[in-house]
Amino acid sequence: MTLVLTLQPDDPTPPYQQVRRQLADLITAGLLGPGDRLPPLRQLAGDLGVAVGTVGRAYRELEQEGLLTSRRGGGTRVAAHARAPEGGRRQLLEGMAAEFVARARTLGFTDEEIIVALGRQLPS
Amino acid sequence: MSLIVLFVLVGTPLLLTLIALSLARRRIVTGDEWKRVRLMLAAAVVTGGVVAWLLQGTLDLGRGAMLAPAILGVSLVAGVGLGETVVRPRRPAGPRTASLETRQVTEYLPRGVTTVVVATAALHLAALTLTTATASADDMGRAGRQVAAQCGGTGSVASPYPGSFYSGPLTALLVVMGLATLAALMAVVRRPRGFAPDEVGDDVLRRASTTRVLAAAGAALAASHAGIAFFAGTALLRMDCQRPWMAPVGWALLASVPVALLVLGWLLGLIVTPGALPAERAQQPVETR
Repeated sequence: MTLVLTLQPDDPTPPYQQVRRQLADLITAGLLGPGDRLPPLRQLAGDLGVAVGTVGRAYRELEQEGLLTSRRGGGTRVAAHARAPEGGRRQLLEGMAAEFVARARTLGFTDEEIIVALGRQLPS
Repeated sequence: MSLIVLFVLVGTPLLLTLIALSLARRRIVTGDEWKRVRLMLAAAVVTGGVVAWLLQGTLDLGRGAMLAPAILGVSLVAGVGLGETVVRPRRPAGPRTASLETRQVTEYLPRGVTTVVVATAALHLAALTLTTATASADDMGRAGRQVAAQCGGTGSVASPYPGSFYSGPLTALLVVMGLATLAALMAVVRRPRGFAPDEVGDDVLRRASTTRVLAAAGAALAASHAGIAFFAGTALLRMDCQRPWMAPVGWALLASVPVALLVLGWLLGLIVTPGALPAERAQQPVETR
């Protein structure tokens, strides 16, 4: 399965933060495992249409969090100890759901409306 | 002479880059893109032709003629490389995606074309090594300009023969072409995603580009080999007195000329054949970058 990052130009979240969050989520969900190699900065930056420094900042922050390791000439890889926590995928999904529900409630939607909207996104 | 050499070394790539940038400045419709790439190719061939003509009048003793195919080839490689990397439409606005797969040049090299180009390069290198090793100085003391043989009390010479006098600058030119090819291949592989609607289409376009760049390099090698093999083969065969190896090698070199010309024709066909664009984006207008 090819893993893909998506950058939304309309999202107020800074691009480096979007990249950082998506990579962190992929590691937490176990889709990126220890030792997996990430693409070079230039390739990722070129594909996403952002400056090399933007991707570099995302990589750097993930390194500081201990999720990635970089070696000169060896590229950037997922750190050996950055294993997906037990129930990490479930926690991630619940976090996303909680975030969605909180945002919808802030905008004044009722719980029923939220459930209906979510149901429409999941056609059986 | 030094001004001409300076023009070749600095002016040619600069001129071709300026042409590519001017072609990429104007708005490009995706379906129309191939016309610009063809214009770039035509500009490269014309520029290479003018440079080869200028050098033919400047470099003495047939060196210009011997280098002409390689000069045209280097210009073609530059033109194809620029056409495949600079003359591209700008990607449409909206979300941008990036695969986490690391792209490598080797993944995008077509096996058949790569084999033919490597074989052509090996044949050309072998021919140049042989002619350089067997050439001798001419009557004016210019090293590597003729082939000579001694039969008892009589001797025979033939020139021009592609010894170091010719193969030196030619090898330098071929090294430059090799580096330009490598740079173009890396630029194509690093080219951003987004010209095709999906990853498969993106890979198809990228592979079409690497095929054209590699074909241009192969065409340059084949053209250069045809010229060198013709000069070397005819020189060896018209010697009145020959060493035992000269006749078979001369015939082998001459036999390789039509093969090189066939390879040249096939590779040129690959370069000028338009690549298929993904149907979903065929009519979609996009801006130039």
